[in-house]
Amino acid sequence: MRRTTHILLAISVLNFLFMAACGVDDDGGAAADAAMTMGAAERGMLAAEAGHLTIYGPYVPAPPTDIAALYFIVVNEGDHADRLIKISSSAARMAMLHQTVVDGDSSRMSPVEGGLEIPPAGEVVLAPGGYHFMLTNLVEPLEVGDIVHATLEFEDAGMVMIEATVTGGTGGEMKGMSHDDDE
Amino acid sequence: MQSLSVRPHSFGIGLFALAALLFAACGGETVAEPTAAPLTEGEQIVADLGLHGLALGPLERPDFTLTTTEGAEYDFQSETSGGVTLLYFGYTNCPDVCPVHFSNIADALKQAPSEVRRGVTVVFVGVDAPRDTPDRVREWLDFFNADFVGLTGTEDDLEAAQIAAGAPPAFIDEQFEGGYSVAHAGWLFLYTQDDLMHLRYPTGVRQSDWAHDLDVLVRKGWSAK
Repeated sequence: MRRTTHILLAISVLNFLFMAACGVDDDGGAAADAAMTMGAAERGMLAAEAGHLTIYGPYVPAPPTDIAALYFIVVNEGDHADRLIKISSSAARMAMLHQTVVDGDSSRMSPVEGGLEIPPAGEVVLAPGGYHFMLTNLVEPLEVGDIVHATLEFEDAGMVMIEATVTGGTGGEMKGMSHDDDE
Repeated sequence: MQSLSVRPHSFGIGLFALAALLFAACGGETVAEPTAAPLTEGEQIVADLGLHGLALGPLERPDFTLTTTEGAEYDFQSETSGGVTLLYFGYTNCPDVCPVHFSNIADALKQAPSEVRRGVTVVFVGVDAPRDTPDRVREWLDFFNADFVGLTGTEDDLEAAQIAAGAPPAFIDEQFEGGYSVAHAGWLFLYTQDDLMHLRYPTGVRQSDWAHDLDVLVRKGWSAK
């Protein structure tokens, strides 16, 4: 009984992973749909430019407590990679780059060691269920409409200041299980 | 304090490795079609009803007792029996997926007809015993919907509840200056009126998916017809 359950469970998980990995549209495949929301048309507003890098659509979903997440998209139009190595924000005492990973049946947060590579002629999406900056020990509560100031530090492009809007409701949909949306 | 245990997940690691192979396998120019394995009965119903969860062999509505944020004993099986129930094992210091899940569900229910709204019980279990105090769980849930049920318990009771539900017990994952993150079940479990879990929901379910699925499951139930 238990073994059967495990096998069924394994099959359904694998099936999902297969669909996620291959982008098969099963008419409601969250990963495929999530990937579509990352298209150029929905990057959000241009927030900052620094050399070959452009930052789009930074936002912070209004947090239920004193921990929040900051999301945005970095587009690299240059011909060499850059690296996002640090972030700081006056709104939080600490900001850390994490990646949510689905590890078997568990959801974990994995630290991103050595910074986040922004590939040449590519983009990196920070979105729910994937990469995010965790803002902890918020200096004061964040409410819808507030602006969070943050400074991103890139290895090559240097410091970039952004202003992220605190959004209500589902400010962002989940990224699902697909990563590396390079197009 | 840090007594949530660290435990291996060989089953999960195996799946993870297989998943990595699958990712590698379809990284080429051609997109492989999934092999046409016959659908299970559950998968067929999911397809027929247009649901967004993943079908799995039915599991019984679990039997465990925890404490509500108001301090009352909550026998999950008897309190929720006969209705549509969403069960989530999360933690209030979770910055990313937990609030997005709950924001999506709360917004879907807010816009749902009252029959659907009344027909769904949402239960959040705070698995991070040291930090998920009753007050903090209540504060966290009230941000989304004051009707959501919040449960807390001792570490032993929490572990028993997760095992009863077939969830991987949570454990302290990464520790960093001033805190730690918790690995926890990545799924939302959904029980239907027949007191079985036929499907569960992964990260990536959208508000519109919830609105559709909860409407179908409350009004129609888990049924092939």
